[in-house]
Formats: sequence, structure tokens, C-alpha cells
Amino acid sequence: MKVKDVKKQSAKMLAYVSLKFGKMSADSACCYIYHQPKMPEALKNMKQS
Amino acid sequence: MKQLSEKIAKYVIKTGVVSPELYVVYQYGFQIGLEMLCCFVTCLSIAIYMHMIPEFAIFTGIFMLLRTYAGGVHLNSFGSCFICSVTVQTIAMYFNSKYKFTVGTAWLLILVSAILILKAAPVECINRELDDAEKEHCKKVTMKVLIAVIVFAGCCTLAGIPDILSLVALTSFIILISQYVGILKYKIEKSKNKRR
Repeated sequence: MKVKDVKKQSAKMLAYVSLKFGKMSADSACCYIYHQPKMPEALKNMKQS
Repeated sequence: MKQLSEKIAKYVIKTGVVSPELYVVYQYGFQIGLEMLCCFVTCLSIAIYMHMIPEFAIFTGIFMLLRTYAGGVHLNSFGSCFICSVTVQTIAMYFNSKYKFTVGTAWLLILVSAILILKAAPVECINRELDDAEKEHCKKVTMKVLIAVIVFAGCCTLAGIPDILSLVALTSFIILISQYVGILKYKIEKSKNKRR
């Protein structure tokens, strides 16, 4: 039970961090580094809504 | 990095904390985060090895803030991007430790770069095209960041730290070059896409 909770909490934290990075990228012209993967349409829609 | 980000995104979805429809959003976020982290840690390690942590902090701070909103060149693969990012940063710090601009030259470079950066901002990339509202927002923030950079340069001059002033000038100049290379690359890629 505890292991499952830890797994779920870590997954939640990862998801939060990932979403933050995605939103940060959506709010800016580019990232710190010289590579920019194609931004998914779903993220654009999320930003607009 | 893409494969690793895909694995993490799949893991997060498997645990049931996020909806599977948002897989692409999370995968994209993980990829961006991992690439940035990887690059940042490598550059920081090099800065520690070179005993140039304050210089690294100033270069990265200005570079990140300006590039995020003013834009610049983007390479097509993470490998080439990683090598380019690390090389540019290392060369900039090494150059600044060996050769320094005089106060007058540094100020000239900062002011000319600031004007040209603002004029060119924001630079788009084929994978991240901006709409009018985004362009306006990026331009406004770029102007604020540039004012902060000029104020910081003024403080360095008053405090008598020409080394840092020279680094600020060099960083601004690198961002300017990156922007113009980015504009050129974007135009070439756009015309290639139109021909297809």
C-alpha cells in the first residue's frame, strides 16, 4: 500500500513538473538551449482555453 | 531524450494520475525539462571545473531571460544542440577570462546589441511559430529584460567590476548573433516548406 502511494505521489510530482515546463515553453519564444521540439497542438489549445 | 521522455510519460499515465489524452503534452514537457536539465548540469560542471561559477550565473541568467523571450537559433537535434550550447558557453567564459572589453567598448556593444535584439525580437522557429499576441508579449518582456541588463551593467560600472561588464557585453552580443542566425534559418526552412 505504501509503495503504491509513493509511486503515485512521485508520478504526480513528475506530471506537475512536466506540465510546468510545457506551459513555460508555451509562454515563451524559445527555451534556454538551442533545441526546440515541435510543440503539440494540445498544449496550444490548453494555453488558449 | 525523446525516448526517455516517452518512457516517463507512459509511466505517469500508467499510474493513472493523468489522462492518456494528454500524453503528448506530458511527453513534450518531460523532453524540454530533461534537455534543459542535461545542458544546465553539464555547463555548471564545466563552470565549477573552470572556477567560474559567478560568471556562469551571470551568463546563464542573462542568456536564459533574454533568449526565452527574444528567441534565437534552434538546431534540429538534441545532440547538435547540446554540443552547441555547451561549446558556446564554455568559449564565452574562456574568452572573457583571457580577453576583456574596455568599459567604453563594452557599453557600446551592450547598447547596440540591446537595440538590435529588441528590433529583431521575438525570433520564431519552425517548430514554435508565434501569433500576434504572443509576439507582442515577448517583445514587451524582452524590453523589460534589456532594461534590467542595462541597469545591471550600470551597477557593474559604478561598482568597478569591468570583468562582469565585459561578460554582459559578450553575452548580449552572442544573443544578438544567435537571433540573426535564427532569423536566417527560419526563412530558409519556411521557404523549403513552401516548396513542398
